[in-house]
Amino acid sequence: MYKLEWIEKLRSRGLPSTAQVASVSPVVWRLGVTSFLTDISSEMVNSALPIYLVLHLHYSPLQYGAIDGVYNGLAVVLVSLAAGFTADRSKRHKEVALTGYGLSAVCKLLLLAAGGVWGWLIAITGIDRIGKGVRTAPRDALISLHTPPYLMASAFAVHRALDAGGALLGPIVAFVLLARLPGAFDVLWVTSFFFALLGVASLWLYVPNPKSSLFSGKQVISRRLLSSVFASPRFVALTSSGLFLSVGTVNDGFIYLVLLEKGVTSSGFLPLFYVATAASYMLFSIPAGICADKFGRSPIFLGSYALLGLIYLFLLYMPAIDLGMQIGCLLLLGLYYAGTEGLLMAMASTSVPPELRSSGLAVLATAIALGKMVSSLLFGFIWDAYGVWFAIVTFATILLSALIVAGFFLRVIERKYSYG
Amino acid sequence: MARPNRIFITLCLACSVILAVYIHWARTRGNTAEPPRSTGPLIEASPASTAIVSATSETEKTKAGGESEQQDKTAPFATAQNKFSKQVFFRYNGLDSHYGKLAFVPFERTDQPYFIDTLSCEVAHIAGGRGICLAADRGIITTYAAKLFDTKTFQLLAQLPLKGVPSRCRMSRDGKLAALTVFVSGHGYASINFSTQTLLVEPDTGRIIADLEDFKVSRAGTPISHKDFNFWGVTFTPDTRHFYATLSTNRQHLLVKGDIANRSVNVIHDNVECPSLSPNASRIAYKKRFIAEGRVFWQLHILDLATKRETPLGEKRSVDDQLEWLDNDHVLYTLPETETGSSASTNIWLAAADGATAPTLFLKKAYSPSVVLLR
Repeated sequence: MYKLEWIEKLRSRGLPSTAQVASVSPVVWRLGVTSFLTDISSEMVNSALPIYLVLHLHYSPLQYGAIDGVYNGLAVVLVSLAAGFTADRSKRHKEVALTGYGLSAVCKLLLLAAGGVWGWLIAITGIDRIGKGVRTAPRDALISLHTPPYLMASAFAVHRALDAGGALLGPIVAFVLLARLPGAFDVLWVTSFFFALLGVASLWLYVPNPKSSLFSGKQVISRRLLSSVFASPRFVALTSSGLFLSVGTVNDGFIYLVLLEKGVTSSGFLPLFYVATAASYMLFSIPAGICADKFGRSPIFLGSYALLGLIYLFLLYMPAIDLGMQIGCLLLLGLYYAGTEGLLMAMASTSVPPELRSSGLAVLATAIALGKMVSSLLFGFIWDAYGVWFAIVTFATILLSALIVAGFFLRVIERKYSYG
Repeated sequence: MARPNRIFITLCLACSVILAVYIHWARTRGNTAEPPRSTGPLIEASPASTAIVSATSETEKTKAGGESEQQDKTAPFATAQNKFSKQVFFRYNGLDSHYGKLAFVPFERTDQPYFIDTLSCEVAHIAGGRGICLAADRGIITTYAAKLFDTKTFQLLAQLPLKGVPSRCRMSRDGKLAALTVFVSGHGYASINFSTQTLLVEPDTGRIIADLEDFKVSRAGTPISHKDFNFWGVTFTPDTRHFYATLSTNRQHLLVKGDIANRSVNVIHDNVECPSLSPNASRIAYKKRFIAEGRVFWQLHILDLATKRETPLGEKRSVDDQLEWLDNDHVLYTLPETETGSSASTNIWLAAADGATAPTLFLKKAYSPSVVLLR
C-alpha cells in the first residue's frame, strides 16, 4: 500500500487545502486531543519544577541540573524500542500507548506523595520519561495507520499542532495557578494529574486500534521482514539523513542563551521564549503539513532545515539583537519545527509497512534522540573550549553538509519509488 | 448519547469537582492553620519594633515560656542574653496572604511574627540599620531586583535589577556594604548550566562597588585565573574591609579571603561553601560538600580560622544554606519541611557551634534568618 504513495499524491494534487485538513481522519484529531491534554499536564510540571526545586525546596541549581539530566539514556532507548516492537507484534498499538500515557499520569500523583524527598523526585522524573518513551512510537504508528498515504504529512501536522497547543497552555496554566496560590505546588500536581487522566481517558474511549485488514495475513514478524525493512535503502537513507541533520541541530536551550547574550532582554524572558516557539510551531504546523502533501515532502523538510541554518547565520553576524529580531528568530524556530518534526515521521510512515510501523518509527526516533544528545554535548564542549562564535560556525558547517547529503539521499529515494 | 461520550463527560465533571474542592481546601488551609499576627501597614512596623524592646519584661517571658516546647528550648539563651535582646528577621513561608513577606520575631517570642507588608523577598539580610532584600517580580516574565532599605522606616534607599535567580545576600555589620549572589545562566557549561554572579553593593546609593569575578585571585602566593571561576556566599569581616567567600573552580570549592580596597582574594582553605563569620570573627560556619551515590549533600561544619580545625555540627541532615550566627556559640539555618507534603515550606533550626548538642527547631514557616541586636 505504501508503495502507491506517489500515485495517490498525484491524484490528490488538485485538492484544496481546507478539504485536505477536513479529510484527516477523526481518529487523528482525537489522538491530537490526547496529546493536547497530556502536554498541558506535563508542561505544567516541567515549567514549575525548577521553581519548586530551587526556590521552594532550596535545592541548589546543581541538583536541579542533575534532575534535569535524569534521562536514563539507555533505559529509555531500550524501553521505547521494546514498546514499538510489542505494539507491532500484538497489533495493540492503543494498549501500549495507553500504558505509556498511564505511567506518566500516575507520576503526577506520585509527585503529590513524594513531598520533596530527593530520591523520590529523581525516580518519578525517570518513570515519567520512560512513560514518554513507551507511548511515542505506538501513538505515531496509530496516526499513520489511520491515514491514507497521500494525507500523511497533513495528519501528522494536525496532531503536532494540537500537541504544541498543549505545550503552549501548560506553562500558562501553571503560572496562573502559582500566581493565585503561591507555593501551593500540590494543587499544581493535582491539576496536572487530572489533565493527564482526561488525556488517557480520551485515548481509551475514542481511539480504536488499526483495522486488521491493514496487515498482511502473517501473524509472526519474520527475520526476513525485519531485514527487508530495516536494511531497505529507503529506511536507511531516511534514518541516516535524520541522524546526520540532528547532529547539526543546536539544542533550543543554547539558541535561547545566545539570543539572551546578544539581546536586550533579561534571563527572565526565557520561559517566554519557549512559549513563543510553541506558538509559532502550533500556527505553522498545519500549513506546513498541507504544503508537504501538495508540493512534496522532502523539499519542505530540507527547506525547514535550511531555515535553521538561516537562524545560525543570523546569530553569527548580528552584533546586537533587538526584541523584534528575537521574536523573528523564535518564529523561524517554530517554523523549522513545523516543517521537520512531524514531517519526518510522516515520511518514515510511508517507508515502513504497517506490520513494522511502530518499530520503524521507534528506531528512527531513537536515532534522532541519539543525534541530538551528541549535538548537545558537542555544542556545550565547543562553546566552553573555543567560544560561541566557533561553536556556531562548526554547527553551521555540519548542518550544511548534512543538508547536502540528505538532499542527495532523499532525491534518490523519490526517484526510485516514483519511476521504479 | 453514545456511551464513550457519557463516560468522558462524567469524568470531566468529576475531575472539575474534585479539583474545585481541592483548590478550595488549599486556599483555606493556609489561613486556618495558624492565623498570623500582622502589624498591618508599614508605618506600624517601626513603632512595633520599639515596643518589642519593652515587651521583654518578666511577665511576658513567663507567659511565653509555658506556651510551647520550642519556647522551652530557646529559653536558656534568652536569659543568657538578657541585656542584649535580639530580633530575628526572616522570610515568611506560610501559605497565606503574608507568603514571601519579610517578617521578624522578638527572640523571646518566636510565636509573635510582625510583617513588613511592603517587602516581599526571596532572600534577605539585615544588619547595621540597613537591609537587603532580593525580590522577584513574578509575571509572565519574572524579573529580579535587589532592594536596599533602611530598617527604621523600611523605606527603600536604592534598587537595582538582577541578572538572575537570587541565591544569597549579606549585609556588613555596620550597614555600609552589601553583597549578593545570583544564579546567571549562560556563562559556563563544563558541568552545569548555571553560573553565579556575586556583587558588592553600596546600600545607600545602590552603586555596584565590585563584581568578584574582576578580583585578582591568588593561591599560596601565586596568581591563578580560570574561565570557570564562580564566586558565591560572601560574609564580611566586622571592619567591612575584608570578606570571606566561596570560589568554585575545577570542581573545587575554595574558601577565599578578600581585600576590598586591593580588589584581590586569597585562597585559604578547601571545601567550604557559603561561609558565615562568627560575631567575634574567629570562626567560620559553612556547609561542606560530600558526594554519595552520585548526588551532592552538605554537612554543616565550623572552621577555626586560627587553627584551621574543622568541627562538624550536630546537624546530620543535608543543609543547603548560608548560616547566620545567633551569638558566638549558636547558629541558625534553614531546612525544607519535607514531612508535611508537597506544599513546600521551610523551617529555621538552631544548633550549637560545639558540635555536641542536637539541633532544635527554632522557627516554623521561615527562611533566610538574620539576627539583629537591640540595645
